[in-house]
Amino acid sequence: MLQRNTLLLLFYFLFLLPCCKNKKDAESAIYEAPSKEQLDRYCTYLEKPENFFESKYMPFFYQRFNQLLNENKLDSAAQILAITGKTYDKNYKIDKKLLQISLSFLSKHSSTISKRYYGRINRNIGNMYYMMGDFDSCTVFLKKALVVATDYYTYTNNAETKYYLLFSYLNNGKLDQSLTAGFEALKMFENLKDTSFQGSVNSGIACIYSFEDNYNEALIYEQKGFELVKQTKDTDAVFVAALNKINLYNTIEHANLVPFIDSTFAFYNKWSKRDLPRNRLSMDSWYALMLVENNKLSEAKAILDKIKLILSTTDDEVGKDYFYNALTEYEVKIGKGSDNVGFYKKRIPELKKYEDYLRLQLYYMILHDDAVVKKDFKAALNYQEQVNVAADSLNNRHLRTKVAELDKKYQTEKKEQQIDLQKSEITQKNTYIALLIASLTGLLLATFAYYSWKRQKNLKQEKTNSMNFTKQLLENTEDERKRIASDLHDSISHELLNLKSIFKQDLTTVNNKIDTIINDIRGISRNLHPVMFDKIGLVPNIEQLVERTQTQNDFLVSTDIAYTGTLTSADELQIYRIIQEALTNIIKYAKAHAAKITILEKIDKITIEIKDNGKGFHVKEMLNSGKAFGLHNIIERSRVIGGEAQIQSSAEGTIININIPKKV
Amino acid sequence: MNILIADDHPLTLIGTKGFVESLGYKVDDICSNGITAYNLIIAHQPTIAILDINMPGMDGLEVLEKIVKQKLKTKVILLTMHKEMTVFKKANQLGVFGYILKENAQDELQKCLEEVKQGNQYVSKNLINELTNNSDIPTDLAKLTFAEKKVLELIAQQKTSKQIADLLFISEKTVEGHRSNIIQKLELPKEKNTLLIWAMKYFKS
Repeated sequence: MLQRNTLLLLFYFLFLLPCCKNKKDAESAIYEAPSKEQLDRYCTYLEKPENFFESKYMPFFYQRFNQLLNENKLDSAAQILAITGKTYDKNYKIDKKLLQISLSFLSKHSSTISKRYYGRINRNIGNMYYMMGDFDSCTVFLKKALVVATDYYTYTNNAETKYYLLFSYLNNGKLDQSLTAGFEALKMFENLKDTSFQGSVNSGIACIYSFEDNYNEALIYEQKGFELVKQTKDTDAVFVAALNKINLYNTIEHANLVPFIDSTFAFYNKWSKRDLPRNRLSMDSWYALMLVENNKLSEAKAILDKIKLILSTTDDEVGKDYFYNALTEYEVKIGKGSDNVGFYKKRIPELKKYEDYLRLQLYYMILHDDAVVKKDFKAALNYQEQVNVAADSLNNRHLRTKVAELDKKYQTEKKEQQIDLQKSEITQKNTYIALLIASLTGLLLATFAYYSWKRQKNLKQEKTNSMNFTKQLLENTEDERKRIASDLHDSISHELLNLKSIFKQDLTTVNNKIDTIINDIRGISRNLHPVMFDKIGLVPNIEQLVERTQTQNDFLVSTDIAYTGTLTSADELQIYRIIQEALTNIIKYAKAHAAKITILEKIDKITIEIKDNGKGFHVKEMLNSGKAFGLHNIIERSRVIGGEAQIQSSAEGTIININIPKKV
Repeated sequence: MNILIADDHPLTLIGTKGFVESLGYKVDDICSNGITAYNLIIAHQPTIAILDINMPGMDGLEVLEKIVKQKLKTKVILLTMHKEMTVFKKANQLGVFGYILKENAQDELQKCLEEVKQGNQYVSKNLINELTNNSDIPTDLAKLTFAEKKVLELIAQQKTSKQIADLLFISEKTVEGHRSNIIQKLELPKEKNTLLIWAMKYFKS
């Protein structure tokens, strides 16, 4: 016996527009279902699937349609034609007359009617061809049905058309195109947030996989599809997916086949409001097959006889195939030749014409099985060869490889797109966060920098001001002193000198007196400004100062001076004044035994130390007392020459330290 | 033998010139600023140049410094009001031949010119007095330096060498050096605590 598993390839697809759609979150108006359209009474009547079985249904249509044509209301005519075709679809019926009308209407008016009805009518035509098994024509019209999506209706139409194209291509063995159409449809239904159709498309993709014997993938997609449609509670869609699942289970002889048929059968009977002949036929055929498998032959016979009566009420070839499959299985089981040989033989030329290799293969198998039962082995051999030929036509290995590649490519692309999307989202988020943090930090830093800059500036300004002021003050004082000194020396001394020469020959007393005056003036002058300080330099002047201090005050000052003269004369003068001031202070207040002056020159600075072993004083108190001009004088002068004075004092004595960095 | 005189004070300049000529010397050039003086010295190479210190352009010390540096044969006498030791020391260091204070010029210039002509140095007596300690401290102590006297004072207060060193910011070794110098200078007998005994006796009175 040949396996009849190929049957699975005859797939069901969903003709019903699923009604439950929640599209609140739809991103674009094109994905958003508009509020329910207001139809006139003709359309409302023609649209209801249950009215289809009334005898006045078609006359009603023709009357209205022709009336509209006569009134030249072409778009309304197109609308009514589309709606009626849709109702045919929903009931899985073919009407050759309606097909002809549709074709001729389109050939005349396709350019004038709206895109929406144009697409829908083409789709209706395509679907009729599908039911007739003419997949080539089906594909042609379905392709025409794809119009430029401008609104919700055209977009939905395109999505559903893509879904039908999946099956149309698949039945022609064009796996790559089928898969492409399937994934495109899936994406569009995702955009539409139409769970029901997403499930159906997944189920369709499962069919493509089972077609190329990739049952693992097929099971995965089938399961995914079934889960999705179950969520929608759309019974039509659930039933279609269930039938496809049964088909797949049957093909791979899945252990759950019988239980699943059983549960689906129970589900179907509970849900009876849409008990269409087509659905009943398919369901009962599978149930009969299950009974045959379980050897409940009499029960199977009863069901098969019952559904044989509804065969004529549907044009659904798939449902019929399911029925004949079950029937043949039954007949083979009871060991009797099939009565249906004629049916099969009669259909073969038509199948060949439409290149429906799928059914061809199946029918040849059935004929082969039948011939074996009838012990006509020659015929059996012939049918076997035909089965192989049909299989060869289908099993295009090249196509199969391609399908796998396409799928992988598509999946990878999809994943990459998702990853890219996520990445870009993350990057965007990160960028925002980073920007936010950066700008906050920047703001903080800027504020901080601004304030510290301002503070720094103020401080610097203050310092500069005070330094400039002090320097100016000291310089002015110094200039003044210098002027007084030279005046005393040059003018007064000389005048006295001349005076002296006049009195020369007279009195020795006058002479002596004048000498005294000269010496006094010398003293004043010298105290005001050290004589020829520029010329003589710092060290000899300090030595002179120390010597005079010692002799005049009977006070020992020792020195340790290592200075080679790197400072300017003006700076040296400030040091001289500092030391002079310090010595004056020591003699006046310290009651010290001795003092020591140290000047050391280092690589980067000059350090000056003046220390005594006097009684000391409280430095801070003294500085703030307002009486310590001498100390402030030392501090200020140190600052003017870019140095810093530190004063330490205790009962052991006082140390003044001055560091003057060398200017580079 | 010829002489150059430079002074920025005209009265003094002419007075000096007249005085020097009255002593029988020939004055070749006179001028009133340092630069001219220096140029004339280069040009005429006088035997002696009598220079004031305070002059515009270049002062007497600078002119002296240049003459010495260029090894000119001209000998410099500084005739100045400056009695300050720092100034004299500087001039002396530069190699001055004569240093006369203007107030003593009438008394000393002739002697000075004679000495310098013979290649000797002459310095005003007033300055010499400043250089050599001529205070009216008792004769014994006059021999001592200021530091030695300080040390002696502290010895009289029965301070140890260590204490003296600390008080005067000098090393103990320096104090010991001062001690032996004082003993030598005062020609004290070589016996135990001789300096202490002498100092205590001396400062008590």
